[in-house]
Order: sequence, then structure tokens, then C-alpha cells
Amino acid sequence: MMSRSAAHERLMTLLDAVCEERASAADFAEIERLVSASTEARWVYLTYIDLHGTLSWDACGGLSVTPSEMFATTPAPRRINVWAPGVVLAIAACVVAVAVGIAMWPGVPEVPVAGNNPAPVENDPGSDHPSMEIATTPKRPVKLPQTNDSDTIRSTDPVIAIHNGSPTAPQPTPTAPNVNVTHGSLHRAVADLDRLFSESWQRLEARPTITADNSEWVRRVYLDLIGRIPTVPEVEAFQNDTSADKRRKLVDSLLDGGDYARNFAGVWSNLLIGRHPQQRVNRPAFDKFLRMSFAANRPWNSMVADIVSADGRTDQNGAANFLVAHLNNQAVPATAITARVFLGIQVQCAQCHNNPLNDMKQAAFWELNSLFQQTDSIERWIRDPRTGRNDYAFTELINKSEGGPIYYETQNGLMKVAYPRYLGHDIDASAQTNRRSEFARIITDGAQPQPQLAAAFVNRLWAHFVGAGFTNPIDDMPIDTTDPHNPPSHPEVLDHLSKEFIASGYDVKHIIRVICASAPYQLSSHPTAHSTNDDPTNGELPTFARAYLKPMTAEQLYDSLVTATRAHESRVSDWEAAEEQRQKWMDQFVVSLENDENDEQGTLSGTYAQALMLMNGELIERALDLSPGTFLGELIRDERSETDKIRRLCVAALSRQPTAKELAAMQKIVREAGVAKNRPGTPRGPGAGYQDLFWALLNANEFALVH
Amino acid sequence: MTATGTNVPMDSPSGELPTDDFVSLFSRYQRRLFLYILTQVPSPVDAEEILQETSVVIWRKAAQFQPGTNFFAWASQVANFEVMKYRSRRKRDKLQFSDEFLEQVASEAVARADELEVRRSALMTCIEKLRPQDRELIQQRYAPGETGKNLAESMHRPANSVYQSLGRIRRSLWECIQRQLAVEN
Repeated sequence: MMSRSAAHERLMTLLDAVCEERASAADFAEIERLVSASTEARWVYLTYIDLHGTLSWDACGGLSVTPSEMFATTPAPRRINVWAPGVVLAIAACVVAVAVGIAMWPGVPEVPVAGNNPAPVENDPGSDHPSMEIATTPKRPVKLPQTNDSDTIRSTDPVIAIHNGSPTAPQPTPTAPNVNVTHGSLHRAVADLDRLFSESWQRLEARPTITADNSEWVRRVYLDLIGRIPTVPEVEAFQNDTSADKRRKLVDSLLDGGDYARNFAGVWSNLLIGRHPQQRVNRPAFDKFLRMSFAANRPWNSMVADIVSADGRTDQNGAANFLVAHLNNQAVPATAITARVFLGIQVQCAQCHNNPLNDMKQAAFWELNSLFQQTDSIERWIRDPRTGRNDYAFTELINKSEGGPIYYETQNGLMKVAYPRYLGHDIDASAQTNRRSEFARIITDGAQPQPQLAAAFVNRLWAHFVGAGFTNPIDDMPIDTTDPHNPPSHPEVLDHLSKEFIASGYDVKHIIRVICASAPYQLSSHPTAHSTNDDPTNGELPTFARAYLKPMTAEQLYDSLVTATRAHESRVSDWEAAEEQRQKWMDQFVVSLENDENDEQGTLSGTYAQALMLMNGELIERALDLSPGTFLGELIRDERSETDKIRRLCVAALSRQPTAKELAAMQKIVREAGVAKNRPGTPRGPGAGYQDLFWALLNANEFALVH
Repeated sequence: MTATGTNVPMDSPSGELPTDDFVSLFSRYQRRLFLYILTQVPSPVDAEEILQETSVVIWRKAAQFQPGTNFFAWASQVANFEVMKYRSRRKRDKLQFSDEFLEQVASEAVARADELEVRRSALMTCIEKLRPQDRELIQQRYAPGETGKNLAESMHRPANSVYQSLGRIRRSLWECIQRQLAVEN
């Protein structure tokens, strides 16, 4: 038997292990024993864990309404706006929406909502707490915040530059794809792909679900290609098109429009420089570089080459912004993101140690990293003659023309040396060689196909369209066919698509056409009895025998709301103001992780935040505005019958006609709103019923998912 | 139209929308609830997840709450249920306490809730009394999402030595709170 003070000491030690998540099952058992032995120990347990919790809670400050005064300086700036106290009110409204959702779509099978968190939504039939239809992915404390201050690379001293305005770095010049891809080759590529899938379905004994009907498919393809739902006329035009190849024609016409380039530029801007605004990063310029590149359908390898080897001013050469955003911290973020996004390889762990999970060795990380070590980014400030103050003007990427290897420390403290190298390609380490240009030359050299570059892109693209990649996560792929790490679910398909992509000269639109014409993309998202155990969000291997649901991104949600409601036409006067509002809305969903790799996390995917913003947002309020010009405003002034109006509302929000049962429920909503108009404090006009219905439709789970 | 949902003619499951009083109670007790859950599931990440689920249920059942009665006692019942559900989902997880243990701990936490709350305010003073380097270390450790392990890695210090330092600081905070309360009483 331990003495009291020894027992106290022991308990403290065990509790510390719990606080640091190092306690074993035996430790837990011992804590139980000690705590059950005396009430005093129980109190120690409670107060110690309470102390741990108070420290966690007050530092995180996440849900706390009383701001913490505990720490005089907050560790890292975080922006979590969505839980502002006023907004919290709306959670009640969220409950209402759930009720409406359940009441109106009894026929829609309950489907787990796709999200980053594989935790399944529990629905315990015995419980009196039915799970919400709106996904309740819990908010988690953000990971690994560290200050991104770099004292070695970034020059923070204001440099007065002579502004001679010489445009050095050119904007990308639109170039046609190297290889002219004909419909014939599209047809062949799709046929091969479909054959591979039908073989794999046989092997897996998976039976493909039904083909997506016109409504489901048209909505999906608009969202995937141009980032918004179709308008009512667009749905009708597609429905009324009787030609056999109308799906292919729609893909072609969407790819030719400017919205495709805008959407893909937005998606890739988020991946490459993030949503989080940084003063030095000129996001519009980067976006423009991508937009022009996608619009001109420049080969993917040369886009990547431009981004990685960019020089010059952030305002003149948009591509330079990628490195300006990530050169901090010894270019560790630049290395990690280049590897992860362009090559589909996770190397960030290899920074400190050999990665036990894949073949990427610590040396390889620093070899890749050394490509970026010749580069510096310098802020330029310009004196304003009127105020006499120096104002930030732009940042410039310059090459330092330094040579030699770099040194890094292994886990056991040894200094090691790394020479510049990229996936087996040695790069001259002398000062005269611009390593990034050399890297760009290698990946654009037609004689040296880049399977890793191609595979990473097609895998990401496949997931973008079909809702799951061939690997999970999509940017953690094996380094080559001999690497046993995280094997792809359909290696033969991935290989086929990669080869097709390389053979087409990294033609982005071609590979999109192939994917959009493939058998899996034609399928519905409705699961069948056979499609079980294939849900990638539960960590299961996808079979692609159905389309997987995707939660809308913040951008898709905003643009779709605006499309459905024409909310922007009611108050905002010009494009710039509209863009500013869009940005303001979007900012609410980004939490910057502030870690080594400059990661960030969109909080939109199926969180309360999404529900709250939708239900309470100013945007929704404007969306339901009845003034002329808005969708609803026009609708209630229309001569159509009530049934027609309801049908139109449904098509505007969900791109489909209501079922007979839904129609009846919707009619009830519209009529009952009229009856309730004498409710005190809520003056109700004739449009109130349609407002209620539209509100419910826009807040339905079905709206916020890509089917 | 206001966006609080008052215009929707459907009955919400709770019948009525929560009142302003309820909202302020809810906000005021968030932290207490989190800490209460944490004593049963001692991982802040898991506790926060359970808190989220608890909050949904609390909102849904807002109408069942009798104004004037003890909100925390009521809300902690909901939390208990959610903890139970969480535990049954994780029943294969070996790192758990037994049901009996939790019952003991939970009833004591409710009974002495006010005492715990007093300690929490004393913590503020105690943190100020720490040596600057200790304060900085604990602040870094409890930065959102940080763990002792990552912290050690980023500081290039052996993990064990960082754990020891953190343990020492936490204990001195705990003892400081003890003293603080002894003085006040």
C-alpha cells in the first residue's frame, strides 16, 4: 500500500500522461484504482483534468463566449468567425430546416454526407436523438499552429525600390495544346476506360446503380465544371434537347465558356495559395494567371513549370505568387505543397525523419527543398510623394545564384548533406544553374514523361468529378509502382488515365472530356442494395459503381445560391461590389491551420457553420427579397398557376421537378403561410408562402450536395 | 423576412424557439459543459465532439427546460447521455474508464460544480505568477491543436523532457490554485 503522498505523486504522474495522451490502458486502470480509493483522490482527478480542460478551452477560445484574458498574447492569429454569439441563435432555425427536410423528402434515401471526416453519422434507432440530416461533422481544434515567421529567408526590412515599371515577367501567353485531340481519340479513351471499369465491377461483384437522370446529371456537370447549379432555362434546355450525344455537347459547351476557367482557377488557387489572405500574395494576379491558362487550355506540365520556376513581381507575373506564399520557414511549405499538390506525395513528415509510411526519405525531402533555396522574395515599398510614407507595393521573387548543397539535421542530431534532385533527376548544384528552371525543363521535356505529375493530376481530377479518388487521401499516392505505400483502388484505371493524359500532351480539357464521358460519371448517386461497403467517406474502397456525393465547397454554395435566387440583382450595383461580397462571405469559412506546411482548412464541409450561415446569413435574406429582379420577385409577379410556380421554385433550387408527394407537401406550406399572416409581429405579404418554401429548399441537404 | 425561422409554419420538434434567456444560459454554460464532459472523456478533441452533439440535443429540447431550475444540472444529463452514446461507439477503445468510475466522477462534478468554477477563475492569477519561460511553454502547449509531442519536435527537445516540464508547470498551477483558495477561505 502506497503512502498518501506517494499515491498523490503517482496519480499526478498518471494524470500528466493522460493530459499528454500518453496514458496506456494500464494507466487508466491504475487511475481508477487510485481514485476509487479516496474521495480526496477523486477531487484531485477532477480538479487536475479541469485545469487541463480550462487551459485547452481558454487557449482555443473556439466556442467560448467569454473572451479569454488568460494569455496576454494570443499564440497565432486565427479567424473563426462563424460562432459569433449572434449567429448561434440560428441553430434553432437549423432544427426547423431539418424538420422540413425530413417532412418533404421521405423518399430520399438517407445517405451519409461526404466530408473529410470519415466518422459515420450515427443513427441509433433506439435513441431518442435522431441524427440531423445536416451533417454534424464536429469542429475540431485546428492542428499544429506555429508561427510562420521566417527570419532567414524573408526580408522584412522595407526596401525602397526605384519604380521603373519595366515589365520583366510576362503573363502566360495562351498556347494551343501540343497535340490535337480529336473526337476519335476521345471515343477510344472512353471505351478503354469503361472496359476497365466493367472488368473491375465483375471482379468486385459490384453492380452499377441506375444511370443518373437528366436532372441529376445536368446539375452535377454544371457544379463540377463551372462551379454553380444550372438556372431554370438551362435545365429546361438540356431536358428538351433530344439528341443522343447531348451530354457530350453540354460538356463541350461548358468547357468553352469562361466560367469553366474561372471555376478551375478558383479551385486551384485555393489548393496552391489558399483562401487565407496574405498581404504579400496577390491573389487576383495568381487567379488571373490560372484563369488565362485554363481558358487557353495550356498543357498542365507547362502550367506547373511556370508556377514552380516563376520569377519577378507578384503583380506582373501572377505565377510568382505561389512561391511568395510558401517560401517562409526555409521553403518547407513550398516543398511540401509542391510534392503534395503537383506530385501527390506527402513529404512533410520526411522533413524531420524518414517517413515510415512511404519511401520518401528525409534526404529526398531536402533534395527537393534545395530547389527552392536559391530563391528569395523581397518586398518592395514605394514612397508616396504626397504623404512621404513608404507603402507596400509588391513582392519580387529573385534568384540568388548561390550554389552548393544544403545541410539538414537527422533525428539523431547528425548533419547531413542534400544535393538538388527531383524524383531521380539529378540537378546541377552549381551557382550558375537556376535549379527551378532546370526542374521546369525536366517536367516539360516531352522525351521524359512525368508519370507522377500526371497521376497526381488525374487522381485529383477524378475525385473532383466522381467524388472519390483512387487513393485516400488523394494527395498521398505511392511514389511509383514498386512503392507499397497506400496503393490505389484501381491501379489499372489510374494508369490508363495517366498515360492518356501524357499522350495527349497534358491536355486538361481532353482528360475532363474523358472523365465526363466515362461510365461511372453517368451513374446516379443513389445507392443500390449492391452498393454497400464502398463508401469512401467511411474509409471503404470505392467501386465507382455509383457517383459519390460531394458536399459543395463554399464557392459552389455561394455561386449556386446567387444563381438560384438572383440575390445579387436586388441590391448590388456592380461586379466589383458583388465580388467583394462574395469574398466576405467566403472568408467566414476558412480557418488557417498556421502550421509548418501553410495548410488551411475549409470549415464548410457539412458543419454547423454551413447551416448557420445559410440560415441566418444576409445573403439568404436578400435571396428571399421579393423586389423585382430577384428570382422570387419575378416569380410571384408571374401569371403562372400556383403549381407551376412551385415546380419552378423546385427546379431553381434542386434542378428537378418535385414528386407528386412533395408537390402536395409544398402546396400545403405555401397555403398555410397565408393563413398565418395575422401572427403578431410578422407582417406577411402574399409572397410569404413562396418565401418559406424557397427558404426550406435552399436549406435542404439536397441543395448543399453535389449528387 | 427575418432569417430566424419564425416564418416557417412547420412545427419545430421542440415546439417553440429557444428564448433569449435560454440562449444566454446556453452560451454561459458552454465551457462548464465542456469541462464536465472532459472529466469523463479526458481528451479535449473527443470532449469537444461530444459537446457539439450535446449542444444539438440541448437546442432541440430547449422547450423542455423549466426556466428558473438549474440549467447545468439539466444540461449535464443530456451530456451524460451523449457521453454514453460516444462510449458505446468506441467500446473497443481500451483507453476508457469504467461506467462505475464515471458515475462517481460525474456526480461529484455536478455536486461541486461551483467550487470548480471558483478554481477556474483562480487559474488566471496563477498563470500570471508563472516564470515567463514557463508561461510561454504552457501557452505554446495549449495553443489550438498543439500537442506536447509536436511541441517537443518543433523545439528540438526530447519529448520526455518537454513532458516533464509541462507536468511540472501544470502541477505548480494546480498547487497555486490550492493555495489561492486556502487563502481566500
